Amino acid sequence: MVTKVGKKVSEFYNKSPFPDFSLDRFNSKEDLRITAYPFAKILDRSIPEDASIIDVGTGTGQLSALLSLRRKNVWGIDFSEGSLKKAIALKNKYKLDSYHLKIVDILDVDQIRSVGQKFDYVLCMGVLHHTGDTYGAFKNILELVKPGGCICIGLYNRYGRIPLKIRILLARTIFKNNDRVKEWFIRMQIGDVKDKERARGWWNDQFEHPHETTHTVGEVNKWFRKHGVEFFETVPSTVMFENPDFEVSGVWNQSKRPNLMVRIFKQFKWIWSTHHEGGYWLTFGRYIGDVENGDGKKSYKRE
Amino acid sequence: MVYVLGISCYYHDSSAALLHDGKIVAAAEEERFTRKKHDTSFPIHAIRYCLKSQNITIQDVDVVGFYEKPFLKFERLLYQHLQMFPKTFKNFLTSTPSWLHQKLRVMKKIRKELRYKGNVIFINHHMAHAASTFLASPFDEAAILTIDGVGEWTTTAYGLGEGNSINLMKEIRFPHSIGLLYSTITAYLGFSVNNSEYKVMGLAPYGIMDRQKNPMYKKLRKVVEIKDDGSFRFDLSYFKYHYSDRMPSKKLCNLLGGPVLPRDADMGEREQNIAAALQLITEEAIQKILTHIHKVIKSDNIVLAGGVALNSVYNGKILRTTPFKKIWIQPNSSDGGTTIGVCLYIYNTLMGKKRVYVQNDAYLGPSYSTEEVKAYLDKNNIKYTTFRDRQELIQKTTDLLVDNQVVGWFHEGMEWGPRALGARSILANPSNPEAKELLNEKVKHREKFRPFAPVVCVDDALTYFDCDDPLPEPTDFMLMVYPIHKKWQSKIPSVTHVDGSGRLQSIRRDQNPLYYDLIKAFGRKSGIPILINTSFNIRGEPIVCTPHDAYKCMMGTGIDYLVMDKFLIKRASNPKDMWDSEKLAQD
Repeated sequence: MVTKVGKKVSEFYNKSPFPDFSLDRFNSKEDLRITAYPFAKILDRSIPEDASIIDVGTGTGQLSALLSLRRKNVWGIDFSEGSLKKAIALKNKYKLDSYHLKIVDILDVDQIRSVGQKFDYVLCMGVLHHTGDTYGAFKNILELVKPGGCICIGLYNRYGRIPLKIRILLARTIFKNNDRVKEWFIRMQIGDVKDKERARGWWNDQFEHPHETTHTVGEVNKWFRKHGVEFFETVPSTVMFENPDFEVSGVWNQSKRPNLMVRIFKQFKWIWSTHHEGGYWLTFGRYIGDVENGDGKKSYKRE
Repeated sequence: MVYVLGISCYYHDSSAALLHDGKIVAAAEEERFTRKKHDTSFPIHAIRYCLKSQNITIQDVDVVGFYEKPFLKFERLLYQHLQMFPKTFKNFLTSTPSWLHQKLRVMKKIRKELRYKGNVIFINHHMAHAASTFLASPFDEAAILTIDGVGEWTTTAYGLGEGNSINLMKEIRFPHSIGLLYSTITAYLGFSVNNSEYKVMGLAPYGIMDRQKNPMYKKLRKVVEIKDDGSFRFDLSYFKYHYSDRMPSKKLCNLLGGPVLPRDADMGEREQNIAAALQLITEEAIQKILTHIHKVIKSDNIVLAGGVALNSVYNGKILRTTPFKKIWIQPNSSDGGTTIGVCLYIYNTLMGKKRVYVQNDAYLGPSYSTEEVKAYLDKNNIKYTTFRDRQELIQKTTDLLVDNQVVGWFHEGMEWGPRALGARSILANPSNPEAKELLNEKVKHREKFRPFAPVVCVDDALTYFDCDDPLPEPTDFMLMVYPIHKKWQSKIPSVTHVDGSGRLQSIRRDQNPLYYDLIKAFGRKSGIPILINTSFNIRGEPIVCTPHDAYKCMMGTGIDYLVMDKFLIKRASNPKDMWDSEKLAQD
């Protein structure tokens, strides 16, 4: 069953895969490490070597390929054939035997089940808000997590994305034909636009995307509670008066669940503090079991 | 799999070290990352590096160790303030706030900022020093001596190390401290405390190194009473450090015949004699202690640590003037080095695990792959040439050195400790009589009296230097000064100190094969297999860490070429006006 949004998004990604790259940029496995985003490296260090990982909505596969370098079982799934083709080329170039790729539509439970296994770590970064049914997709990907396994969800924040939405509006109307302003907008987001390929990839993803939704921290918390996912932390942090160094502490550390006041304060702050990233934030948690179906424990302590 | 992280901070030289299954796998000082010399802040960058190097986060660490017991130290300070009240009142007002909001709250920092949930252990400061040297040494049993400024209470301690246990038997307590005496005189001579003590040591040979003839020796000897067993007692009326700062008191100034010298003052005969007298007294005290320890402990091996163990002039005399037969010294003997002691002490002594680690080299800091270096050079549009292979690298670098060019040398992991040992070094030709002046003025911007250090392959050391035979291992870390044989002194003038000695670094091939081969190749071409090796920095700056630091340092100084991994960068072919190092050169 392909929805209208799904069709549009699929066409979009087949035309402009994300995060795009040309294969000859990577001459060795080492290059894959060097060019990785800082946060990808943090993720790589936060996940133990013997863990199995699935990257849901892996796109052109740089992150999942990086994670597979020192692990035995890493999967990447995506529903865009165009993006996945690039990921497969990357896999073949370095003969990454531990890296598996598959076309899967996450809105379809049967397709998800066809992966045939559950994972210790499920990453779903910057994907759910493009599906048209964020909550439904979230429920589906829990099928992939082992009980006790960890998940990471990356979404656009409702408030944090306001500045970017304004920029999108300006780029589509007043500055439609002004390339300099458009370049300035994208420079604001990724810092350096010397790399034209990267800049184009980001432009397509942020300014030309046919469908996106935005969400709040409270919403995600509610989903977590409802489906037996223990809340760990968010990046940027939602703990008051703390500025953790994620490079040292890693992610997936238990921290205080933010209450309403904290959520309001923090998300209000995100309007300017995350406007460069377009209000993108990550939530980390651990899946205990489905509370609604009765196989989850009520309290769970990390050993 | 056991990981132990050691942390030292808030006094001087903060640092971090990481142990994995008994072996130290990463260690670095914070100053190298923050580019602030002797940085005392919480070593977050160093911790980040240690964890990154092993691809882990703090949650994978089993125990975090801290290099001293902050409450015990605070108790000493309070006691000191009470005892000397009201002289200490001003000092009390300025120092206590930092204790209350920072130094006593290390635990909170580890829990909140690092988000660490496991065990944190605080190790006695001198125990950390002792462990850093004994547990990293090749000896199964040895006498241990630690001497520094001051830890919690202890300033000097000795004991016995056996297997994986350490027993510190006796100690001398604050305020009687050789380290603080050295610091006080350093301040008197106008140098910076906790930093420039080695300059005073370098100045000493210009004075009269004879107890009978040096006029200052008799005066300065009044200040300290040394007993036969080496224990010493200071006449505290000459000092102020126990109630205010480390500046000498008026009484000491009168004794030495003049007020405290301003910064960068010219060193005349009197100053040289003061430095010499200080060195003589230090040597006398340590020698007596060592002789006594040998009597009590009856071991032929001695290991040293603590800031005073960096006194390489005396280190070179230990085997000749005391009954000990073998010696080992922690290359990073000052407070920064305690972190590896903390790691080893927790793993070997507290966890009771077998010793598997001997510190053979000091390359424990960050290293950069060829791809990373290339990526940096390309990104910044730096002009460079690539060596075809190892052979060509050695060949071309040798040619440059023989041609009296100054070469920056950037390979392997950054050195642990205050000395550059062939990973972040500046190399030059020692036969060039102008090299010393050139390096001092154009590159390092430092005092004229300071000599440069030679590096020599281990199998050539005895040919050129009057060393102990067999060559003791601390020479690998540039920790011992030995006389240069008379006939060679005039041939390598740039590395010969005024008294005909040289602070050599010996290099074994298994430590750093490329460096070793370079020196050998240089020897074949020039006739003398010795190079000048000085740390890759300018005065007042920490040793370079990243390719960017190295490039920047080269561009601002008189270094002609930079050999970084397999790339050769020529200063003249890159844009000049990056920055002016002379403006920045200071203590």
